Amino acid sequence: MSYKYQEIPIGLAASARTRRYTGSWSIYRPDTDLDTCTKCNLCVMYCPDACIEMTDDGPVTDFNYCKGCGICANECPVSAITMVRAEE
Amino acid sequence: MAEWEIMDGNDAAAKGVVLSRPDVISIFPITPNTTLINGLAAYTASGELKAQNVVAENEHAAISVIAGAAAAGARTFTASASQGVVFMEEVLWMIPGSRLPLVMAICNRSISNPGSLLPTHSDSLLQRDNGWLQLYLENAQECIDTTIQSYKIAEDKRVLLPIHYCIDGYTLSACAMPVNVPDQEEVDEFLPPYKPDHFYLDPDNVKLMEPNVPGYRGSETEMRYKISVAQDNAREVIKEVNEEFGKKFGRTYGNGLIEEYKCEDAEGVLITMGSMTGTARVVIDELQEQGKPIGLVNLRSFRPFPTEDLRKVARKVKAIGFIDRNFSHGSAAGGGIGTIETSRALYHLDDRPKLLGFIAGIGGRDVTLDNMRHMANRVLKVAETGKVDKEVEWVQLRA
Amino acid sequence: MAIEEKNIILSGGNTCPGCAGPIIHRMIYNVIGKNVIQFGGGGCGGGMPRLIPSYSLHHSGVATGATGIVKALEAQGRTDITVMTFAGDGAASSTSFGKLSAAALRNDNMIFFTCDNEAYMNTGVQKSELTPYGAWTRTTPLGKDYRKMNLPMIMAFHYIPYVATVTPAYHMDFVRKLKKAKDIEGFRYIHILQPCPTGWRHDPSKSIELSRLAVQTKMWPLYEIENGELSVTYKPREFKPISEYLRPQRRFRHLSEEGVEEIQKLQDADWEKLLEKDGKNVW
Repeated sequence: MSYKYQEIPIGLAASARTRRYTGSWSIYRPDTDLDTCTKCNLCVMYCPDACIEMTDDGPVTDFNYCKGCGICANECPVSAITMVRAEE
Repeated sequence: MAEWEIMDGNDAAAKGVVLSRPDVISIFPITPNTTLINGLAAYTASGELKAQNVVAENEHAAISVIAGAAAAGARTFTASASQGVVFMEEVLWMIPGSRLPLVMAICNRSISNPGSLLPTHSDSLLQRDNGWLQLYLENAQECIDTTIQSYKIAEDKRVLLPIHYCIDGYTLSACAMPVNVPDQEEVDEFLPPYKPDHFYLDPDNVKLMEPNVPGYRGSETEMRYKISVAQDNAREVIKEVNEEFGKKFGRTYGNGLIEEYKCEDAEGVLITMGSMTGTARVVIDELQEQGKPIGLVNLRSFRPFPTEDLRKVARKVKAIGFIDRNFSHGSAAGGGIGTIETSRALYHLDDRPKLLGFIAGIGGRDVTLDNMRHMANRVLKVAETGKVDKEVEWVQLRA
Repeated sequence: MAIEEKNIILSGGNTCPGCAGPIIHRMIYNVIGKNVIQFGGGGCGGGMPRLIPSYSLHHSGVATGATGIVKALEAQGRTDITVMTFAGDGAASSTSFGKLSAAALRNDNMIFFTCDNEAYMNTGVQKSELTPYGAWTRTTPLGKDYRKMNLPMIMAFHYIPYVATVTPAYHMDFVRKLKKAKDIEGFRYIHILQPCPTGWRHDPSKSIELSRLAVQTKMWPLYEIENGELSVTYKPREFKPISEYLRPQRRFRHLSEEGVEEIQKLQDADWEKLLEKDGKNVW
């Protein structure tokens, strides 16, 4: 997006605050088994992109931002999450 | 009741800082600013200056502290010279980009190698591209007045750029004269407290840091253009502040950007910057008494460059001689920086005067009355004959 | 979305998959809260979109800009705001070590975090003074031939009130130390080991596991130094061999058996010396 010079606020220091839908980066995605899950919230805390939200039924992943790193699957103490190939 | 005190350039600048009520200052000594920062430390210790004083571990740290403080909305001050200015160069570029109005005193001193302790304008002129405003001062009275004016210029909403004011090391910073010290109450009326609303770190008001606004990366052209527009606005602001100061305290400095001294019937003018203007005035008086049509222009503001004002002078005269207390090795026609800028300013005039460049005062070498007479006479000769024999002359060269 | 309000570091940033950086930043903000001003972002910190005001002067001005912010807030009477400054290991140990040292000696009132990912990662994995012995980087392709700087202990000798080493896998320890640091006045130094899958060359899913293994193999002891008194905060009964920590990282793959042995001996010696000083004053 390009801005005319009159529209840019003055004094803005160099910053890279762009957000994008990084979900397109992922090759693998987490698949959670809601029956095994104990709702310990470790996956919520350890997701680098804060994509996991704990609801009453269990963790819900926001696939718009999930980069498929697999930390949630690696840290789950009861192995309730497996990484599966993402659908195109 | 304003008092009179015998003060040198550094003392006057320090007193000016005290009168301007900064919130945070950061100091580091380097000859010739040592008496300035010692004065600031003494004022802080006695309680007369109620600012947070951070004695930094090097100049780079000093300017970083000031930049952080200004980003948080404080009024600030620091001072440096030659090697120190070059050391803090990296941060000096970041400050105009963030539009933080700082005030910094540069006590001009030659940069090594070979270097010396005495003035050359290279250290401040090195900053002419990055957006800082620059004023060059002639005497100690101007030091105290310009410190107060600098805050008003920099913090004006049309400008919001940092400003250097340049005091020749030793030649001005250590030369004393009777100085009229303004009253604190009058300065408070002239200079209200600093209240930024454009860039101000505050957890309650995160507007510029909002990540939902797409990043302004890739917009440097536009941001830089805005800074150029601010420099153009600064010409008006400097003139206005000069006039307002004159109404309140009774002293003006030309029109703020330049001062024309006895140029009414001149056919040739000399242009000088800094303390050598004082010497030039004496010589111009002497030559005018002999009937010679030579005038003097004191260039107070180098950034923003007073293009229109110099063009007005140029339309009246036949020859101009610019005395550069600096050098630019390998430059076009070997001219000093002031000569090159003036030639660009006058290039498109239909009937432009001849331009001579003089390089004098390098390494602090005293620009004497004889040197001034020589330069004035060369300008007069070119004005008379219309022929330029030597475009640039290193005046004091021992050859 | 509901997630966004809970987190000060938002999703959708530019960090690599598996980066431990945002995890650490979120842990910090969840303890310290929103009434903060941040100075600096670490090297890769620019990739984390955040909802609190921040300013940076690149890597050469780590703690001094924050000093300016602290002094400005004091002059304006806004002393309830916490000033936090983040630095990468490159800025803290190489480019701006002098600045960090001077700010600590002045005891400026801020919390200083070193996000130590053990090399200059954002510019493409070049070594810094905090790169460990034997590690591969693009500027030390045969392995770094001198040891990692012991920055937390050096900072302790600046006579500051609080020094701590933490890592994200031990999050309760991290939270406890942050809560302690929040209530102390003066220069508080917290050194965080931050695994980096791009620079350490490991599987992105193993970031947190590697930070756990670093502690369990004596590579990264967790301790705190409060007013000079050292206490080691994690003392397991049994330690895992260091090869368990080194093998998953391709940056140590070139090491021979002797190389691993050498590192094991160095870490054993360091751990013994640390335990000797446990409970005593280091200065």
